[in-house]
Amino acid sequence: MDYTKLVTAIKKGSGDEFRVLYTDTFKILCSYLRSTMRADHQDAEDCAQHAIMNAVERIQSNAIREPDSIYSYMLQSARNRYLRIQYENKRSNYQDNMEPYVPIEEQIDSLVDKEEQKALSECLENLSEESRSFIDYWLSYPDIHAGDIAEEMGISVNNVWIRKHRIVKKLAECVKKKIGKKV
Amino acid sequence: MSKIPPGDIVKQIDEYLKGRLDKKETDELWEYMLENPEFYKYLKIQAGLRKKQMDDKNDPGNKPGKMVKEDKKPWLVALAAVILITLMFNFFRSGNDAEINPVTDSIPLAYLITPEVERSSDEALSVLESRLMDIYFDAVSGSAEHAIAQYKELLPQADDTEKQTIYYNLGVLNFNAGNYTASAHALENVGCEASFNNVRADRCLWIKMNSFLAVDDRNEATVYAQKLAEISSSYQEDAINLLGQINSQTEE
Repeated sequence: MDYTKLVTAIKKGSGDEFRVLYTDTFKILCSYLRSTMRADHQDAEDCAQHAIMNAVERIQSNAIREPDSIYSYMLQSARNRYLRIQYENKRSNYQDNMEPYVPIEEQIDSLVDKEEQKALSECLENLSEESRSFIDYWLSYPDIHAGDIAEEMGISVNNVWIRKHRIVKKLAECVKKKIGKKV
Repeated sequence: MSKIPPGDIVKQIDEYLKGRLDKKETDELWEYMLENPEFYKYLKIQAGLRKKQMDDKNDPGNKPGKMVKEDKKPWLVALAAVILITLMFNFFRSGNDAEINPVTDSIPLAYLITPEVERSSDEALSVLESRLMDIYFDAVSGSAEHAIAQYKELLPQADDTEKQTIYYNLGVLNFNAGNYTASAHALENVGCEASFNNVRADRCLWIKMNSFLAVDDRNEATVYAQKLAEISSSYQEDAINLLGQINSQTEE
């Protein structure tokens, strides 16, 4: 997605393109707030909406000084809004912006959906033997570095990442097919 | 623009899910997702794989922390309580009818509620949700009157949850259009605390307070002001001021 596309869609207002952009952006901002800062569902929605509306208003009034930073602006705006709500309401599920984000295990839990996880397990079974053994090896050593896998499999490090990229892509398509929606 | 080279995204997601990115790098990754939403599905799949790894290792990980609400500001609660008691004492005495205005002229459009896009992941929106989304875009792009008409048309087909959203949005749009009676009438159907939580519930109470004030229904406005006065939120001050105002007029 490039900035020009976003600006055009926003300036047009209620076109299909704006709707797709809005939906994607909204969903990703909510996911960011929920996984990194434990935002609850409604707070996340509220802050995401606030951030998008701020960006829309700024774009419509030509008040964005650095167009390239629009996504960074939206992310910061959503985060600051969330922190402000936390501060105002004295809720303690995420303290302030001096803290690191919540532990990665929690972030992963928040990103994973039960239905998608079930479909993913089924899709893993459907992989070719070669892909399956590659991903099994990866799964068996959670903290392994790509260099070690490359050495073990006798391929280059770049090839490790290319292979993983292809398998992830294949799994994403399979999961989408299985649950009748995009992952 | 995101600083992650396009070819490195799977690697960067891997680093993120292993907890090796700092806060700044994590933000850069999420910015990349915003800029390239097609890679969000990779993040979800890789998170699923990582989760499987952790489950397979039977690693309990860290349990998500429970939200702990801290005590409300005691002095504000005490002040609200004093005002409340005085108010109850004076409430049925016929008071002075001087006008008390809403605390705002216009409710920000960012307060409108959209269908729950995020909860349903990427699932296609239902026909009704899709229409709600269209109406929302009408409302924020300046076609408030059209949006109001469309919301009304949609009401009979909506389920209870959707009705709450529609009535709430009708309350906001009618208020901004100066149709205060219609706003209050719509908001009568909204159960702020039952339908929404946290900041959205507080905001809903604040909108109701303003809407009922606009039609000079002080009894109803007081009900919502009292609730807001007891909650630590950005609307608490408005509510306490208003209760004080109503109280002083009643005493005169």
